Amino acid sequence: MRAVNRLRISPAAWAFPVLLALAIGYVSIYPTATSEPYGVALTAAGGVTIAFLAPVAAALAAWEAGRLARGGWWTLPHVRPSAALALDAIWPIVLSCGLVLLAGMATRLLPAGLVVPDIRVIFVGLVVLFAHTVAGFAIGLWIPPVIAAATILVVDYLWMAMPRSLEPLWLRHLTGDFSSCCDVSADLAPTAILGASLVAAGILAAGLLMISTRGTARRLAIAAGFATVAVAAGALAVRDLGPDPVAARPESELRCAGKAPEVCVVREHEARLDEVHTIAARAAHAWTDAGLGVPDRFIEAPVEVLGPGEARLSISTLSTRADITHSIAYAMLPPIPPCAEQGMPYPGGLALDYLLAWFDLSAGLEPAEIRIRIGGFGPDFPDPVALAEEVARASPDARAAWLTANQRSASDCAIEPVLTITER
Amino acid sequence: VTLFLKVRRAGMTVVVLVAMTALIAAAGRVLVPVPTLFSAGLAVPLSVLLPLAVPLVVLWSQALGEPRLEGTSTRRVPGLDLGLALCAGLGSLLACLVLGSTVGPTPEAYAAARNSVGYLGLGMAARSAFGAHPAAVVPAAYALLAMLFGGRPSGGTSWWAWPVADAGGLDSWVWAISLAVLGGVAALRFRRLEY
Repeated sequence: MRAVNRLRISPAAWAFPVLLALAIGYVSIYPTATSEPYGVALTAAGGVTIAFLAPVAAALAAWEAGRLARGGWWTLPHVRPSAALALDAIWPIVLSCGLVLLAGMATRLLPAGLVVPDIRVIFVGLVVLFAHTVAGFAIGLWIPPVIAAATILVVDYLWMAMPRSLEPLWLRHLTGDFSSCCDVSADLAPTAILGASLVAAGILAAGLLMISTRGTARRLAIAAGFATVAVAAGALAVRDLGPDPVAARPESELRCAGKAPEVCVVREHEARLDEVHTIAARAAHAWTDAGLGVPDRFIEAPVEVLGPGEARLSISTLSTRADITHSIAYAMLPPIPPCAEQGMPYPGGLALDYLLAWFDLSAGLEPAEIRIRIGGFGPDFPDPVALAEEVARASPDARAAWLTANQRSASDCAIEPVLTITER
Repeated sequence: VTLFLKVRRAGMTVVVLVAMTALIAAAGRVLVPVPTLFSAGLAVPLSVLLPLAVPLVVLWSQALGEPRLEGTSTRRVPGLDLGLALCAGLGSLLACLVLGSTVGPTPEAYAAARNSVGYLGLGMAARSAFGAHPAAVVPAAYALLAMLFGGRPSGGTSWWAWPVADAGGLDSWVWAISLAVLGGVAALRFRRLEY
């Protein structure tokens, strides 16, 4: 059939403007993982529409398959392979939904100026879209057309949306929705790309098998086997990821300066490197004098990928000097213990703020700037800045004892914080 | 009537309704996070979507007959179809209400009761307007649209988003029952012949 005729009769033609409006409206208010013009994050946030485009494409393909089956066209003898016939029926759907997906990404990318889109996110999005469309067509051939489109629309939507609320958290990376990626310090994890691509390839293979052969239970079982193996392989690929599909950015995209501590920022922040290093060096000197160990390297990287001796630095192009100091001070805090993340009472959470106030003060931050960032806790608790100043004036032994006690409290749910300074 | 029920696979309708009720009891509380446009975030329980099985199975059963024969039948097939749909709707409504007032989950089961009636009415009205084949898409698409756009920035749901509204509110029940009545009237008065 001529392309124009195919487009004219395809349900994708009338769905296109509706989907386009939905996608642009949704993407324009969807928050990105970073406020900076970072291509990976903007492309990924723009690709959030895959969560509803893939189910809609699958449902439209099921409708097309039902139409061909109902009219008896599918069962007529044909010269071309079945897969070619299917492709002829679904290309307008893939084209229109693919264009909507790209339009969603452009909605995020264009206002940021000359930002290069991330080709990996686009690739995974299009592969997922194509796989779901083929699978939708295959299912539309097998189940009655009255229920095929509606069932696929809802079930596929659940497949795309539900993993976000399920444990383990890495399940969500199998769908190809990378919209929570990435802060400017992080890159899209290659394992997430691999996992989502494997699952999509399995769905595609299963769909093609169901399309290419006449319906027997054995073929159906093989197709289900394909999909199951693909999901298992994808799960193996992503199982080490956390809630976000992030990895460290390549070393080639980092710009480093200094030694003990070394400071590394991403290339987007290269202009701030000297300033950050100066602040970090001054702070590290103060903390070493107080008897504290200082990380060998302050680095802009996701916390999940930090190595031994590394601490996370988090800045932006708009960060003030005070923001940078506060970020370096924050990197000195001990990690929140697993017991707190499991919901156990965590009195040491209070110690974190008092420690942070002291780290800020000793790194050279003005009390007024600290008060903006760390509020008080009411009349029953000492003012964090006042206590930090008291600790700063205390003897080295008393200060060291206070710091050690509160660091232990912040690392253990069973230990109360120490909110007074006692001279020995 | 026995032959009619056989043609319409009434047994399968019962099986689907029982399975739906069991699923609501077992997994009705599982939340589906929804990408929302107008609210801070909406996570709806699975019980909002599971009642879509009611219009699906009813519309499927209505498409099983031979339209040419039924179109010239001396018996009133639309009336019989409406009776079967009423039985399915009332059956699911009662099953979910009983579920909600006994083993629970209570609010989710009540929402499922309301939605099964509303979805069925919407599906039957859509059948009269568009034909049997695209009809089931209408309640499914409406449910997803309500999930996507029905949330309010201040919390709660929009007036039209009855499928995701709290089952305790009267408005959503009025919507659902009105749609059921509309669907019933449309099924009797504006039946389309399917070929």
